[in-house]
Amino acid sequence: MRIVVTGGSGIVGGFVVRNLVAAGHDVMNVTRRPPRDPVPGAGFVQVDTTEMGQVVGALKFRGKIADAVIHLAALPNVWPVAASLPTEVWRINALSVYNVAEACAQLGIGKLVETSSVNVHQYMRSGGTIAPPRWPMDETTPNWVINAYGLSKIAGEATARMLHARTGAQAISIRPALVIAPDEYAMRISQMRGDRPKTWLSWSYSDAEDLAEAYRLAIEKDDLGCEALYIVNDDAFTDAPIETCIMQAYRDAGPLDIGVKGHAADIANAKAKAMLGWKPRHSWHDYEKR
Amino acid sequence: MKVVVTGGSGGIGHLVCIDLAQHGHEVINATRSAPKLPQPGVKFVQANTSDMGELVSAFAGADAVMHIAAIPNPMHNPAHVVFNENTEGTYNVCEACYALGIGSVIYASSINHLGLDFRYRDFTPDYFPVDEEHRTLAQDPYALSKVASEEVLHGFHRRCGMRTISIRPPAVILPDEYQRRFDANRRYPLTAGGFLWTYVDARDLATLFRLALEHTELEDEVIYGTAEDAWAERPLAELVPQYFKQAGNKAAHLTGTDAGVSNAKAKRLLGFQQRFYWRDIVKKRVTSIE
Repeated sequence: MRIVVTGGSGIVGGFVVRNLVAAGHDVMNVTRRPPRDPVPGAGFVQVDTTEMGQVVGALKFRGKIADAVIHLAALPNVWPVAASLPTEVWRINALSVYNVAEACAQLGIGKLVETSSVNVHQYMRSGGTIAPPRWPMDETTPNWVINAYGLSKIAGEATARMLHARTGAQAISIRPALVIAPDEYAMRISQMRGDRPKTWLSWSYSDAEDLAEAYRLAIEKDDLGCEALYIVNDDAFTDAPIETCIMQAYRDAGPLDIGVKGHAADIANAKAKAMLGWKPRHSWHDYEKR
Repeated sequence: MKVVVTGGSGGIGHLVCIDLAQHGHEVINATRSAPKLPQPGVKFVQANTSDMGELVSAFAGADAVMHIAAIPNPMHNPAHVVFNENTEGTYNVCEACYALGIGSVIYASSINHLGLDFRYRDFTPDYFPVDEEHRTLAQDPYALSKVASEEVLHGFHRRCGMRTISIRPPAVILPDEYQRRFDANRRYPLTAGGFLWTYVDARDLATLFRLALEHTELEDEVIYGTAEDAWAERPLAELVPQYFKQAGNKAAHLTGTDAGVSNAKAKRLLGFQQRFYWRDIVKKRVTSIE
């Protein structure tokens, strides 16, 4: 397939582009800056995704319309970009996914995979006072956001639904949790175990290579309709039992309905496994120093 | 002379800056990004050709401007961005020179004034060798931006007698690129048909730009800045009909090393004497035609 990947120069983008090229697809990286390490076999077009004209000019480039689009381009919730002005995070993220979806509608592109996030569930930012109805969290858990980044991800999922409603295009929203690339595990593990241990929005995580595989499956498979899919590992990124982590973090939130224990992650990946035939192949334990 | 070079941080622009400085001119590199390679004797000033005001500041006191800054091909930007940025850049440069009374603009046009390299639909030149009298057959945004830019220059000459010289280079070969490009050409000898089997050594090209600057008797010219020998091991009488299915006998007279584009005008008007021939530089493993 001819596949446009917006944000192909980023961390997740690099894995996605390489995965698609290795699978034999004709890949075009649509990106704000030319890639520092271009992937052999993938072209690139420099585009500001907040400009509709440029998005159209990239999705139909030199006369060829993409068969499918994977939309990753956004300001990620990663330092230092995470410190961008909230209005910019909102504007760039929401406008970019809108432009991509609108361009898909105008050009008749039948498949979109856009990038949402665990940030549609920012319950951990309530200071532990507001809890999701039950664990494991999954795609049916109500959204709860407190900032522009989370809101932009809700907007992205709604945009995917708009595209599907308007044209019937297959529109998938992939929700990674904390993304960990192979060379990042050591750093993340020491953050998790440090003197002042870092906590994220959940104890789930997404291996970057497994995540890239999920994007490929979501773009290759047909008849998926319009769905949001959590792409997270089976195990939790923590040493303590998950029920202990949850009870500790949400101790001021009243009665908790905890349906996970031990090493299981607090977010379920069953829907992605069933719909995509996806399975995680890398665990953080594979990367622990012995 | 005091010369401002727009795009002096890029491939051709860098060589032009160095060559002018070596020949005693006072050189200012006016570009949006600082040069990555050292430029002894060249002053850098940050200026974007999309900003008329920045150009006026950058050009103050100059005797001539060499306008080289452009998006160099249509492969990595949306089509309208390629055309608009390149054409706007040329117009702004001319208007800034007009405002300041600068008498000479030397412009880096391209063999793609003809429009073969990045065409959407195949065509055959009207005759061979192509020369400056040949009409444009441009279709793609890059070629169209070169056509439009050359027209802008003619207009400014008409307006105020500004000296306007467009140099049309073909594929420019840096000294250390010969072997790699020769080997690639040997694997796919017809690919070079997209640029009519032309080439010019980067050092010869820098000389051509300087000659255009120094021949102050020239008023309004377009000049192909190419080598007189073809970048090919077989006569073009053989290669042209293989690449251009509709060519008939148009190139039957291109025997020996005759090039697909004539540099007769460069020799006549600029006194151009080619110093670098690929046959002298490349190591060959089989004999070529002599």
